Amino acid sequence: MPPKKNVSTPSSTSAAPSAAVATPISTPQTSHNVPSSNPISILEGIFKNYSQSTPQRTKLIDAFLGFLVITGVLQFVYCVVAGNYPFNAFLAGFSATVGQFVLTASLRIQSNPANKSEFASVSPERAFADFVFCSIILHLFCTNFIN
Amino acid sequence: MSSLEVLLKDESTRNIRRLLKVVILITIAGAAVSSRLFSVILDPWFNFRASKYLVKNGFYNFWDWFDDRTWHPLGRVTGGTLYPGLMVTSGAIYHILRMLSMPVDIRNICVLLAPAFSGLTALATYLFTKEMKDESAGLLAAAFIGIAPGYISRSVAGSYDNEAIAIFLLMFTFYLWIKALKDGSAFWGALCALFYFYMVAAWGGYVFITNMIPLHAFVLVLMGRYSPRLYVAYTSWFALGTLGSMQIPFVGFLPIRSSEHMAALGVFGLLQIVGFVEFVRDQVPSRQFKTLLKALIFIVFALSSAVLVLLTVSGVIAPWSGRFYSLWDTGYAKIHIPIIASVSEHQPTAWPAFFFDLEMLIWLFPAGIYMCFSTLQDQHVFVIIYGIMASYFAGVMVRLMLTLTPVVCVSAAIALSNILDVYLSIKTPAAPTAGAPSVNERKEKKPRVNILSAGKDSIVGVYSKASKIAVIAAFSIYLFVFVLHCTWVTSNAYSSPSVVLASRMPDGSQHIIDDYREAYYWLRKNTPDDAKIMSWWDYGYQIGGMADRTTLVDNNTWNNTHIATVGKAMSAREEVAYPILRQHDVDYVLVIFGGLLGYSGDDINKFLWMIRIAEGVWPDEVKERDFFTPHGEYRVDDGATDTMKNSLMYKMSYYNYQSLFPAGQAQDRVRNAKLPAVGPTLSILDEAFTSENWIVRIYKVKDLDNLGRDHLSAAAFDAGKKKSKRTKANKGSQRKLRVV
Amino acid sequence: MRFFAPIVGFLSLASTLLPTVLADSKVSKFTSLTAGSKLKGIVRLTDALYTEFTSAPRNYSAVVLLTALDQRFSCALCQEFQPEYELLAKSWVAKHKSSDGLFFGELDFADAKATFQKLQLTTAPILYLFPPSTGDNVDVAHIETPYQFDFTQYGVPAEAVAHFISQHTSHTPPVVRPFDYVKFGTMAGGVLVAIAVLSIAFSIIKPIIYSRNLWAAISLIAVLLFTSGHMFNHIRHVPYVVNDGRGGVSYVAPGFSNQFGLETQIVAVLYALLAFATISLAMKAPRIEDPTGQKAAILIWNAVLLVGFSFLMSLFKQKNGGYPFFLPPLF
Repeated sequence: MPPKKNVSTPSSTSAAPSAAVATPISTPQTSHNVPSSNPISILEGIFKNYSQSTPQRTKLIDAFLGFLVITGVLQFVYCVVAGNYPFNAFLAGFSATVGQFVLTASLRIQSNPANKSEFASVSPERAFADFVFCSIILHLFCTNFIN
Repeated sequence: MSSLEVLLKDESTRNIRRLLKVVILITIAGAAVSSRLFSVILDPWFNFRASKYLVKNGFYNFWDWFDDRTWHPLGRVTGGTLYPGLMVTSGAIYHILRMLSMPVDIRNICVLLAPAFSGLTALATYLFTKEMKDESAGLLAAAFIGIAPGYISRSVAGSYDNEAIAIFLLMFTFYLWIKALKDGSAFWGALCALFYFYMVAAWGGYVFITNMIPLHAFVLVLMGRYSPRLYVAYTSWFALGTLGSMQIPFVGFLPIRSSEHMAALGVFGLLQIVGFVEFVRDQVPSRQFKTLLKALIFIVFALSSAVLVLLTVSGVIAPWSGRFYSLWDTGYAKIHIPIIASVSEHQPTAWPAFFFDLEMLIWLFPAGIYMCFSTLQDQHVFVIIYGIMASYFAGVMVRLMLTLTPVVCVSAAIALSNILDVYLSIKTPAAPTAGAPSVNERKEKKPRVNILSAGKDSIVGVYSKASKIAVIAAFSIYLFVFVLHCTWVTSNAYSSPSVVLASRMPDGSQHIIDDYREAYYWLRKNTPDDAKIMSWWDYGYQIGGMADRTTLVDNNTWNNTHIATVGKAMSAREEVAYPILRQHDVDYVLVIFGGLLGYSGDDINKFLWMIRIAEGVWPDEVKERDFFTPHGEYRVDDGATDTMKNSLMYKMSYYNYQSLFPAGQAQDRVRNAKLPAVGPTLSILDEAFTSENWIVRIYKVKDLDNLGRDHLSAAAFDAGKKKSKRTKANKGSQRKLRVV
Repeated sequence: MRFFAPIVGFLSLASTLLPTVLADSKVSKFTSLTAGSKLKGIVRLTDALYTEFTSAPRNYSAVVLLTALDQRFSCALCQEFQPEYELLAKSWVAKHKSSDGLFFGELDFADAKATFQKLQLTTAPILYLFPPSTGDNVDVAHIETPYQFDFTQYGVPAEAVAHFISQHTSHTPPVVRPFDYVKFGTMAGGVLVAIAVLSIAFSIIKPIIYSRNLWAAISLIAVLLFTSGHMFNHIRHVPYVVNDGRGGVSYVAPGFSNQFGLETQIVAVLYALLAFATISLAMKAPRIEDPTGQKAAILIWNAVLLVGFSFLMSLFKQKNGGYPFFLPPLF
């Protein structure tokens, strides 16, 4: 089932590139200069810069990344606190989280228009297809590993 | 053949070129396969037995297979202690062929698997080299790997061993890695991980990939060549590949527990940090902040390596396994793991072996490495690192010549194709005054041409036809000699499997010595089906496979103590050895003796390792020193020590041997020693069989004496009673056995 | 008879007690000798003391090192082992003030030639271990003939000797290596200085570190070394050259799986020459703009390649007698 759900999403992404390309080009590197060295203002600047220059779709990916980080941390804390008794299970869960994180991060990098020159042969659609392919393999391995 | 291709490269018709390329590749694959068919005898019998079991009983039974025909009385949990890739591959081929209604015997598949995969290796090498330079270099590399003796040595028809498929997997995984890195595609990364998984399932040498790819990534980061492509390729490979490798029961949790896998994990972490920093750098242009981040990277890196060291010291992560460690500390194995040091293919490599296996490629190899430096892109860094690491490993262990051969072929192909590019070009530059030299377009694309002392000007081309012809002629001759060399090596050295010995007669004709198979056949026909055979572990698989009898130890050396027990029995006096033999239900003892023929790979020459391994477990009972004369010599003649002369191995080897010679003339042709006039006596064993050339000798263990005497006194009693009769009977029985 | 009875009784009592008394007196003697010794924890023995130390009634374990420390004997192993032995003894007495039944003795050839002659020893060092001859579980086989430590097998580390002692006696001597503050200090200082120098000189060093030529040179040298069998030399400790028995020197080892040091260097140089000729042909020659010069260069490098390869093949033929191929001009 999950693959199907994944497949359904690209249809919406297919419309994305035009928008994705359009928005960031106006704001790629012309970001705010942060004259003050005050850490709080730096962070503020980062946040502002981010929320302005990042396309909506990328923000969605970022939210997912954030979720995965939290899940990973929770899993790790659980392992430390409650013990790692079915080690297989813990490992499978944790590596699923980590694996999904790096795959999603890869997707984010690949679909970032600023990196277009790096990924000449990888269009955003192709990147998403890769992402789905890798995720399926990842979860297949994990389910097999959980026992 | 390949020069023809390069010649035609300049012609415009694309389709013809493509067709030609396919034809050439098929020809190369065909040559690779056929050069491995000089002689066909199935060799590693255990793998064959396992494949048969797999085909007969199905995959799940194979997984849980408990083999009670080896390691008597322990048995072996085979499913969990082997790399199943090879058997699964041939099993899958078997079923596919069956589905295509082509019923082929599993035996034929096993025999032909290695040559078939060598054809695939040629293809993988072609693809890999194509990514490095161009198609002509790829074709050259494919041709080289197809016939290079260094690879043929492990892939002749019938050498049904893990390495047979592993080299293909190695090259293909590397190709996919380069592809993933070049494109920055997670898809290629995932494919790379899948083939890595296959490799893990097939060969213990997968650790080489586990460390090569991280090393490459690490060097790229150090060189300041981090790119998002690297992040995507590496993380997708690592996340999927590691998880995949843990699916193999024999590997299990090793990827997160043992040190040889830690490099991959460390580089994974490093890339996360670098990737994160790059991400933040895009967001924040502040210069100060960047330096701050650099410091952060450094601290995190130092901290994590400290944690790693701490975990290793505290034992959570296993230190490097002995096999792996012995590659770095070359003296380590001899002291701590004699069982590894004892294997002849784990010895260091002398230079003739390099030349023997690679001929002209060995000096084209450094030239190719140099040329990689001159066009230094990410993928060339890989070839350079691979070249250095593999040549080190091949120098330390003869066996690892196998991993060196592919990179030598790739690198040599790059060098040679550069030569051919220059000298086969039909274009001749105009006189130098013309000012506009014809420039090779490919060279111009390189980011920094001739950085390496090759002159600052761009390529002019070769003016004189005569020099072109001279160079091409010279290299054609070298290539021709190379092909001759490969054929010669293959037909002489690598086509006879270890069970059959080939020797040259004084008149130059070849003589086949087939003692092993004679003896195994004798065992199969003349011993009860449940007989237990004790021999040194080298012959375990062969006895299990060809004679189909239970062995005590075999080539899967998983239990050192058990091997040491055999070593102790062999090196002990008879009365000490007998209880050991009885405890392990040994019915027959088999020794290899080369003294008559001058066959140096016999048990007396391996004896020191048996003693060393036994001494490692029972230092009080077996002492290596006792087998050496006070002058530190290892002797078998009159000057041999008493311990040596009384050891079971010595007695079994030389028992009755003196009777072949006139009195006092007995000669051991391996050790060039004159043997004592009086031969050893055996009281706990009966000679059961001796092969034609005395290479294999089999003894039957006597039952307990029915009068309750110990064997020595019983034998003494018998000897006194029928002294004359006994010798006659002995000779007679021997003659009869010869006939069998 | 009646008179004798007590005497006999006393005698029999004495015969049982005497060894114990004797041994006890020896213990106290050697304890004091150990305490008073210049070398911490080691009794310096003489001929007479050696006999007393190792002779039969012993209720202690005796470890004796027979050595020859004098420079005249140039016994490298003795010099090498001495600090390890001292360390072992020192670690033992540090934990066991009154020796507790394990003594370390040392007999130098200079002090005790007679003992060496008596034992017919021609080599040094030799380490004997005499287990107790009285007490609960006496090792009968080794009352007179001691255990001998095998230097050839285990080397000189004190830990190996400690393991050896613990195998044959009830003692498990610890080995406490003193923390070497000087070494640590110099190491730490060195690292700090190195870091400082690096960071100051980074702008100078940076082009060197990132120099492609340097790395190319390093890589090529490594590859040439390894493929010409350097690791074999390193592991097997092969001789550089060997006297051929006729007053000359032979450079090439007979046999396919053997080699000499010089031989591998010749091969490495040969490989380098051939590789360089190839590189010149492929990369340098086509960049020469002068036609005559180019022709000459190509001719020369081609000739070098041919002669070099021919020599390599003839060298290989020497190693492998049955090798049928050759290249002109060398056969």
